[in-house]
Amino acid sequence: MYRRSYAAMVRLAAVLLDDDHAAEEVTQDAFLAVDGHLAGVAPDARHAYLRRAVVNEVRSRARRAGRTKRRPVPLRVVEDSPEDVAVRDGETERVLAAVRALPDRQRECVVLRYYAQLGEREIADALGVSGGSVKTHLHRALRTLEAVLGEVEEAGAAESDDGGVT
Amino acid sequence: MSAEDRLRRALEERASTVEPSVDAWATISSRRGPGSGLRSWILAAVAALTALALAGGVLALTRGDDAQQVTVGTAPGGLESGSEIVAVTTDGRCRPLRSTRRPTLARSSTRTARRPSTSPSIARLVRSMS
Repeated sequence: MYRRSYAAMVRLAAVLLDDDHAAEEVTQDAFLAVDGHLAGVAPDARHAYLRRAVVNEVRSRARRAGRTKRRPVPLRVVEDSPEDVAVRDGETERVLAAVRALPDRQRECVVLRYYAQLGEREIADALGVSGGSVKTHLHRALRTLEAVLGEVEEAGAAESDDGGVT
Repeated sequence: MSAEDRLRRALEERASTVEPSVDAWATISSRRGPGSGLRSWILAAVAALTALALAGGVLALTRGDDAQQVTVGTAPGGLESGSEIVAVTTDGRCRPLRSTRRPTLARSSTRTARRPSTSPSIARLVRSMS
């Protein structure tokens, strides 16, 4: 189980938390939390069980860190090292900044849908909410992201136009 | 490119920068501790024993009244001396009665005979036992 799932779970936690070091700790906490319980889970459901534990640990950590409050959009809150940021292109960084600025629940839905490739029912199961709630969060998140990224693109285009003139 | 495609690509790129620690399993094992399995077994055993003891106690309390005191009579030799009325339990042990009104036996000493009340049924029972 560890060999099959650990790396995937760390990456999922890292995308959710946007903090690689915290992602390792959270994933290890999740492995410890499910230790002794996995035997009672059907083999094909163990990955989902572990993923739910990781998401729960991520949410616990976010609550402890006081990140449950909605943050203003779209500040660039980057905790990675400059080397990490440098390897990403501008487009990726813009999208990630917009995702970071989403409310926690919307960000979790977005990551589970577009990174983990889960369906609405699986997301609902992982987050412990209803399928309708997931649909609402995803819809709102997409509208926000489209608006923010559209504005960013327009601003970028205007800047490049100004740069062309001068 | 749609917003959804941009999201997928950006999140995938973010995830690809993550390098999980190579000694994570050792960290998990050390945090779990070698005695964690033993501790859980000990806790389960203590819980089971406690439950068993409670169940036994309840059983003894509910059955004790019916099983113990069955006969009233005198302690061995007590008839002649007129010393004491006792309860005889099923296992043959005698226990002094705590009643304030001790019945007087027909064949007892003068002191006992002067007592005000005598239960004929107890006297008959004691006579038959002696």
